[in-house]
Amino acid sequence: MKAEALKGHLDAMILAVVGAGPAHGYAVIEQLRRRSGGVFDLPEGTIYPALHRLEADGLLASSWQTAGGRRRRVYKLTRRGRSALGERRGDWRLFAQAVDGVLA
Amino acid sequence: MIDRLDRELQALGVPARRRRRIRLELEDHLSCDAGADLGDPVDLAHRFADELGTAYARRAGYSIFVALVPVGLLAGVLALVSAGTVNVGTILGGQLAFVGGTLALLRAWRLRNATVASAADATVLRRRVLLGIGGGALTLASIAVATQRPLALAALAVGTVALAAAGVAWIAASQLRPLAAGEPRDLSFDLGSAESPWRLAFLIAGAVAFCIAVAGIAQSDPLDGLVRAAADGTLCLAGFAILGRPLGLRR
Repeated sequence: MKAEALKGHLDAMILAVVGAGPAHGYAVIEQLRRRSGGVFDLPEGTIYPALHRLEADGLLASSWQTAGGRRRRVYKLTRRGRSALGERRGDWRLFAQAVDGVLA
Repeated sequence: MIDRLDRELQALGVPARRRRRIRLELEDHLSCDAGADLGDPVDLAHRFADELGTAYARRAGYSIFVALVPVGLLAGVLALVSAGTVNVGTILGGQLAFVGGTLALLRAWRLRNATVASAADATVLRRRVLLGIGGGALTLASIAVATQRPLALAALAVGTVALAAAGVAWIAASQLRPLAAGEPRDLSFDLGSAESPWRLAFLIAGAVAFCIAVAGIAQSDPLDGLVRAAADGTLCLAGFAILGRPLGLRR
């Protein structure tokens, strides 16, 4: 699926992935790919500006951790992020139901 | 690829500390998958500048409003307990701060869900924040000149810290040079109204004049109230005409 089609939903999906447990950038992309059954195969670089922006907006927090001798930036959901995720899940369910109702 | 990205990020004003972090994250990514396609470095750098520029400008917009709340409250209390603190500087500074802070909050709120705001909108937001900081600083300086009462000194200390915090947010937003295309929006966008910006300006100026006239009547001096109402209403419209474009109130 093209990145353009995900526009507007990427933030919610990142929040959902990080909400399932702290993750670094590569793991977030892998989770998006795996959980979407390979449908969301994003250009890998695009995830990083979104992670940095979500952190600047206070929805994610991050810290350095060391894994296998490498420093790795790991992201986790903040309280505000959890609340935003709940809101976006609700919006999405409403939207999906409405589209489904029209298309069915 | 990472070296090229670093140069592009530098050209777009991304601070060295942030660039180091991006480099480390991407190196870590490539260590997980050496064949990963991170995309075009120029596009990626623009994305960083646009997304961070949006988030930082938005944060500065909220910061200045939050900073001006204690400044406004303390200036108000001082004016009540000591009439000597009211001078041209506090009146002018207070009005500029109110306009800058409120407009910055409105635009930041309107852009709250924007992944990327246009560079023009980010610039407008930063200008509004700067107006708020300038107005707040003028208010504090005028209070300091007018009186050295303990309450005034406390107001100065609290206000200076609050404005400094907003100044840090403004500097962070101003370092970045986002490039996202798009025309700056106007007052209609800020207020979520379908009316034209000029019509809104007339309505706001009318409301200001009405409130001042009513205050004049309440103070048993209706003539003075009417004169001040006409003057403030006219000043409101003049401000809109002069500062409307740079502050993104009209196109």
